[in-house]
Amino acid sequence: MWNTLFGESTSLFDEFNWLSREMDRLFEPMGIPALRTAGAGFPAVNVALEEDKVHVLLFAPGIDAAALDVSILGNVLTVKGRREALEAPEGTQAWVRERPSGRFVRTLTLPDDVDPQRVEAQSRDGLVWIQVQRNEQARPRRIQVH
Amino acid sequence: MARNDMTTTERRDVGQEAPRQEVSERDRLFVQPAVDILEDAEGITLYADLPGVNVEGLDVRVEGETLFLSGTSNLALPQGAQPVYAEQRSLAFRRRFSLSGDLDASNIEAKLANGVLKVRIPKTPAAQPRRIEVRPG
Repeated sequence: MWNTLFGESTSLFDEFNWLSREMDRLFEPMGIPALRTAGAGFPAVNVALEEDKVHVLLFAPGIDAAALDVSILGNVLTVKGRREALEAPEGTQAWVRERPSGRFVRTLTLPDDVDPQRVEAQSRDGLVWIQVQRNEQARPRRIQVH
Repeated sequence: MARNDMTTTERRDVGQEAPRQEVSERDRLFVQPAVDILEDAEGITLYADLPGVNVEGLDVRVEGETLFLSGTSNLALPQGAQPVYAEQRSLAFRRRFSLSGDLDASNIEAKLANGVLKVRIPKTPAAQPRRIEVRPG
């Protein structure tokens, strides 16, 4: 089901300019600021909208929910955390190191009509699902024409 | 544990007519999980990021000299939710690795915790360093 949702289009990003305001301050390993990218960072983020809700998925494998700092100010959602680098004990050779580690901060600007008082987040198997309610006043209302 | 067919769904020759039977959307697109691979004297340890995957959705298999990993998240958003942004293009993961002959494929151990898979593959006894006792002569 998720592939039907996310598998097809590649240009969605362009179509939603509220997301173009997304700021990524991704990994800053060794204190060197990462380049700002519009593409994938860590944790990877997916967003889906319902009429009354915004769903944000954070793909954060190996990170304890307790070690994640999720906050919202107005419509700006911020996720901070850290993933420890794998320890390679003496006598160990690392052949491949693709998994990101270090501190991360991700900031997402959500649609203007979200209610920062009504946010729920749950974490399971390294996937964090954040649900933010949207205000009813902001939903389209049909006007009767007499 | 469900066996996923790794060979037939991922590649299809250009121009070849798509098969008639329904292919589940979930199987069509998958991403390669990021991995770390460490080697020590006794074997190899592989870590793979599989966010959202639990034990039921995971398949770790060895066929011949190939190690297959596949996992699918069972996350289901509400039916009406419209995707607007996706860095993670798929919740289905697949990746394969060639195993060297020095590895003992019959003794693989796999653990999954918090979306991270850890696979331990020991070396064959012949490939492990052996300490030779030197006695004073």
